[in-house]
Amino acid sequence: MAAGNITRTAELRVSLDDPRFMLIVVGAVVLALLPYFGHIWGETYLISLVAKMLIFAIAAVSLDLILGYGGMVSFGHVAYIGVGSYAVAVFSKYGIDNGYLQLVTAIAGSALVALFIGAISLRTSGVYFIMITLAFTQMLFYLGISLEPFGGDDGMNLLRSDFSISPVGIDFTLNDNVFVCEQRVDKSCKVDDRDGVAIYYAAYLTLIGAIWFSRRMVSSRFGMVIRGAKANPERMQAIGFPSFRYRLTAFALAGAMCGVAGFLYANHQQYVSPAYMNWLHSGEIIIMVILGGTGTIYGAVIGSVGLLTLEELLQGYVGRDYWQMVLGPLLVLLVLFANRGVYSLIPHQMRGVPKFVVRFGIFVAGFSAFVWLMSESSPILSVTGAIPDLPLYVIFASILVALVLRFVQEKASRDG
Amino acid sequence: MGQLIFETALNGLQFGVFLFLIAAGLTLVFGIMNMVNLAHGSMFMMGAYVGAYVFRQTDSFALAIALAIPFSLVLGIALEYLALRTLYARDHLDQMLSTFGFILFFNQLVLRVFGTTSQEFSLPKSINFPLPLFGFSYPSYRLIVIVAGLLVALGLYFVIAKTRVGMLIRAGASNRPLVGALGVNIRMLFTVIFGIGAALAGLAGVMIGPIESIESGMGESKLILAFVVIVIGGVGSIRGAFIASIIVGLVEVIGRVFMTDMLRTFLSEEFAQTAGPALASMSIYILMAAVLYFRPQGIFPARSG
Repeated sequence: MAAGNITRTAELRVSLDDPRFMLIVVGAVVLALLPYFGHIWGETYLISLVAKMLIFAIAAVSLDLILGYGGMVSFGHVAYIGVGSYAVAVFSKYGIDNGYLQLVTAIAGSALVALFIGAISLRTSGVYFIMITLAFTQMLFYLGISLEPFGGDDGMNLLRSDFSISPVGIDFTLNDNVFVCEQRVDKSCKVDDRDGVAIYYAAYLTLIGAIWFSRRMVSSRFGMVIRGAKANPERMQAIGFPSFRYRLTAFALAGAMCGVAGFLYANHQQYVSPAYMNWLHSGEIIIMVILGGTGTIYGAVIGSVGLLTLEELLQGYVGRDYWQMVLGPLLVLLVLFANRGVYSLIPHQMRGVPKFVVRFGIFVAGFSAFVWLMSESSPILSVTGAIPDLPLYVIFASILVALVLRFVQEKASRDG
Repeated sequence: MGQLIFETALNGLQFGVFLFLIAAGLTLVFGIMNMVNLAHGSMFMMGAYVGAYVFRQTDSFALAIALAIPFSLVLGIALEYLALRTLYARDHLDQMLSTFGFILFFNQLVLRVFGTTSQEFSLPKSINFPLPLFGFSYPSYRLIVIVAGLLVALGLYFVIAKTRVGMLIRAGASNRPLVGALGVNIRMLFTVIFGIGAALAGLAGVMIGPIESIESGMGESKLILAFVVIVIGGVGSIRGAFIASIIVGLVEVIGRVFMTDMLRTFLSEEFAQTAGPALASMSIYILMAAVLYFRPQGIFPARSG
């Protein structure tokens, strides 16, 4: 695992010499401009997809706070996405669309739920902690399913969260269009398409706020106590810090931050369902953090964008029937061979950049080739004619190869 | 009412025994190798699918069981040998994530190989009929499940308490490095335990096939229940797993049937209708949270015997 102790944690230099800093600046600018170009190119779906990535990035950043810095592996982080989105649903059900009220409820609600879950879970550690956070999330999941007034299993559609302040003439909801006219505002508007730009920028700004807050927090005295408690809880206790209270506070803060992500996600989907709290999604958020690199904050953003891009690519090119069969083994390989995370691969110094770019290029080329070979336009197919289950055979062939390699390797280690 | 109580209690017992089949393997792998194996639910699912497939081809339930068990045994061993073996030295997070990858893989694999529709697995009347029992009636197949599960539990107890392998397993659960230091081939032992666990999960899959629907992802809810069981029972303890399975099975089934009625006696009708099912499905997690709070090591931790 990355960065076990405090000194090794990757720090960022605000300087043109630090490729990481430059990458973050470039990334922020690209993300800021993306809706405009998405609109010009007519790619509304892209805007919506990246907005989803940004929302999950907020959730992943909040998880990284407790997982990466505090060593608290919460396998139930989607609980707070659930609480945040149901905060919208409960008000929406009774016709209250005041966004401020909903947002405050989402934050307070998820903080309280996190406080409750944390107060019990933090008494345990290790795998018990993982299990008990999972159990609490399952509880909320089943609670969501049995909440018939809010759609039960089927979920329910939502009103737009209204952020208007009429006295000062602000008229704004999170699902407003920015580049396209819409009938709600402009009666002369002919077509009523969504461009999803308002929610995009809401997510973008919230993410920046979340990153800023997290960076401040982990380098503060409070953050140092959390990180110290991860490295050596007994010593932290011995030098006089009530580490339980510190850890619980961090846990609740992370929950509240994730609740905001839930609030945004409910608005993004205009819909809420207990499926948001499915434990598989908890796994996905953890994977985002690991993929990007634990204890780095920015890594969580890279992980969220990376994992959701990967899923999207696999769904698009490998097909909806196969994509998880390819994603699953990829995750296994990732954990086995690259568990330091993407962020740690980015060089500190400018002189490391060319090597990194070459390696990254090779990886992207290799991965694209792989996806291409697995896709329906695969050159293998043009030689052999249609093979209905090509990805299946490729996967089994690779398992066979792995088995043989394993056998050879074991034999070699026995002989020598 | 008598019939309902009788049937519910037996259903709870049946569910508990069934949970034990899954939890036994999980608690051994968890307790001895200190390995969190999320793919255990997939072994269960593969057992159910293969059993249903064999049954549809041959119309023989005995053959379905006879083939599904070795299949999941081999699958478990292959999985351990190929990938999971390298994970023993890693931390729990890595183990969970990579076995999570296998869940995704297997869930989609069964959809590809067996199709997206729910699998047909309905037993003939000669196996499944209403059996008169103590003046009530009960489906004979569920009784078979109970008896078979109890027999397996008894057999497992015998193996672990009386045989050499069982001795090594117990020793491994209480002090792993020492067993290795005494010259036991610990890798081999791990593979064997993993295989046994997978075979038991596969057996559970075939057994539950005719009762519940066989579909992709069916293993996950059972896996989480099995984790609840081993956390309550104490990691690595077969005895704890058995008792906790029965408790969880009874609480789950009885809660589902009677919770709404119980709430109705002292709460308003409308509230009971809403809160009843919610509370019923949450009850075992509340139980688990309570056990973890008061006895973090579970009721029967393996290390204390």
